[in-house]
Amino acid sequence: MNRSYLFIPASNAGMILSSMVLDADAIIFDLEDGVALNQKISARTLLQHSLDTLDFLDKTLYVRINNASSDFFLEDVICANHPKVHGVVLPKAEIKSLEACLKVLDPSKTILCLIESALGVIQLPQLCQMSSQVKGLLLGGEDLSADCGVERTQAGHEIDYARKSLVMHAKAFKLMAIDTPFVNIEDHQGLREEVKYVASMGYDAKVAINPRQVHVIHEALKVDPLKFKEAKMIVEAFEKHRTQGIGVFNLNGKMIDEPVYLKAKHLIEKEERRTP
Amino acid sequence: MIKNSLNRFVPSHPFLGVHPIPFQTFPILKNNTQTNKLRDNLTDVIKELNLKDGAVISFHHHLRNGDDVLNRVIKEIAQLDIKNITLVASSLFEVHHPLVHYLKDKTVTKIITAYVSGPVAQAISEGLCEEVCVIHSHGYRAHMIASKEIEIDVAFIGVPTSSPLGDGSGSEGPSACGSLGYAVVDAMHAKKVIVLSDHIAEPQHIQIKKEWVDVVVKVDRIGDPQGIVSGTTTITKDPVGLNIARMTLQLMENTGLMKEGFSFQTGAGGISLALAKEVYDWCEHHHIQGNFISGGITGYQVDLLNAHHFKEIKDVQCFDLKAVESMHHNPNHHAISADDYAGPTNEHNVVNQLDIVVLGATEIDLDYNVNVTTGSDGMLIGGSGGHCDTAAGAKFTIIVSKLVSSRLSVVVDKVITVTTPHESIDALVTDRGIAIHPRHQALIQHLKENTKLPIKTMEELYDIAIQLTGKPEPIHFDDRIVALSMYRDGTLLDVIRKVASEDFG
Repeated sequence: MNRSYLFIPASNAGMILSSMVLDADAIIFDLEDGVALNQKISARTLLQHSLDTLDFLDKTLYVRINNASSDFFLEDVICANHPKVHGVVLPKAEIKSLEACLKVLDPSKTILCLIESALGVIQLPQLCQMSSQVKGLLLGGEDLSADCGVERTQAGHEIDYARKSLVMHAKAFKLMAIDTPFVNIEDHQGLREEVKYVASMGYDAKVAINPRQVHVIHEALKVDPLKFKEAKMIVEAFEKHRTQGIGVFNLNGKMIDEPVYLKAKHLIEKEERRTP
Repeated sequence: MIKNSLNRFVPSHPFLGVHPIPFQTFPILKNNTQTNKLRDNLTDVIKELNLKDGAVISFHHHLRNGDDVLNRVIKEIAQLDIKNITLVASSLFEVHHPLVHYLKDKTVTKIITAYVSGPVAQAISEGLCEEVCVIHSHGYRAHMIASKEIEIDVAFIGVPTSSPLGDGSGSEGPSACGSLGYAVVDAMHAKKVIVLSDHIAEPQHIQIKKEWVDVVVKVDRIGDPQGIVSGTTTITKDPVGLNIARMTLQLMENTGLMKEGFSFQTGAGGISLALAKEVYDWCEHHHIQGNFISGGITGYQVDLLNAHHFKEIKDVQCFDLKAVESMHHNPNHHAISADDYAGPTNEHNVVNQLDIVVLGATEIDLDYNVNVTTGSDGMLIGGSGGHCDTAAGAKFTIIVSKLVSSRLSVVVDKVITVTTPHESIDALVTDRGIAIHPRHQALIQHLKENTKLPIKTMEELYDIAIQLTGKPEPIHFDDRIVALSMYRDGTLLDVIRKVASEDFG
């Protein structure tokens, strides 16, 4: 399970060249906002050539394509159909743009819907069910707050509804929930706190906009070893009791039942999948 | 020419491999008890020295790229029309560019140094120095001077604070530069010792003793203390470099050497400093205290001392002003001489007590030989400094570098110049993989089985790099040898040839 998704501007050859040796679990090559309008085509050419020639090792590769209404959209999707690319990040994901994307994207490719408009938020139930290619939801806090005409704050109350709604839909439809980038790249403590906060809500991963954020994200997502150990004890004890026909029991003064067991099991699975 | 054990052809004294060097002691014979040493006119002092053509004079480099002393003294000597000077400078930097002129007019015809960069390095590579220069290690310089293998006629020593009689300190005064480790040996063993200082006062911490000093010259300034911060002394922000530092720490942990009382040295490059920060966090987390950190010292090593993660700093040179401050105020931050640091014949030298040293490289080859002396174009860009000393002394030597930098691979088929022989190198950590010397099979196995570190062979790293960069064109050299790369036992590792003139660009 990917913990971090790192944006790399597709116009930056140096960053593309070193992307595979960075810590990030997944790389998102950005053809959209990270690339100036007059570099869109050259960035795509560079990305295409890089995909053809470089070995990206074990990285999961995504391409953030341009908006479905832009002139670049079709060629971007064709570029993202490259065999080394796992899928696309669809900006301004709404019913219409997702439909457009599904028409041209290779059926083997994954789609991460970037929810960054008010309409996108209220269309979440449909977006989650339109195609099995949709594997994850990614929150775009900056564009969303712009769409709502409100100021973006570090506290994040202006995106609170969207953040909670997104994670709930992701859980309901078994999709990855990926949180919005933390834009203050020097504030590692703030990032750490935000990752812990969204992880407590159920988010699986966080977008990074600077490679130095990746390590902080991974550290913050690490499960407390004591909690991990406790979860292992719970799972082991529950499964042992179950064979004896006991569904509820006391472990070190704490009542253990089915929901507690499932939560512990989930924590173990998540941590084991996350550990690279 | 004779072939040495590295298959390099050298004119004499071929390197025969890394072997134990017998310990020796050399008496300090100087005991100048004169009481009228203070002068205020450098020109007069130099005239009265009555230097002859072919004299051997020495300098230290503790003011690094802020040094004023060497340039002033050579200018005075040139005005006296003295020629064929052999210059024994512990290091030479960009600031010493006026020397190029004095190489051309034959005031200076030979340079013996541990490190040379900037215009002087270029001039040597272009063949402007009449005689063959010698690039040795910091440790061998100490031995060479103490043993009188090379006799210094006059040592000119810039001292930030000197008493009228010559008791001197590096960590006090307006031009404070911290440790005077490289100057101590010159002061002990040169025939004449001339101290230049811009601050005449009784120092609190004496590094240069008055018995060694013949003349103290009060000058307006010895240099710019800000210039001592001439290398990279801030942690890299480059995520690739930070990744290398994290992998290096993981490798260090797995050597089994990081335990209570361990000793450690790292350089002042961006990756090395990031590693110092990693070591800080590691010590904090594991509640382990190391014995000492050594070498050139920056604020990051000072942080390790202040947090009690190490008991002591053994400081041969300060790289930044935080280190200078610390040396002055912290009793556990000790200035040491170059001989105590790395003198190969000094029984108690610090490098032999090191557990782990982490060093950089310009090139490392498939045999694990390292070059920090010449660039990929064959031009002189540095020299051993303490590279081969620490690599030989430490129990485990790690080279850290990006695999590809400025479109060049650090791993090459054969290094252009051998600075540190393969016997002393244990591992290379790059962003694209870690190569462990094949003599450490048990460690390789352990790392593969117990860590996620990307363990590769040097050949694999070479292939990855060449796939990215292509194979570089060979460099063309003249037959003329312009410098010798000397090992810490005085044998020759390699020669440095004049770069063919069409390649000067």
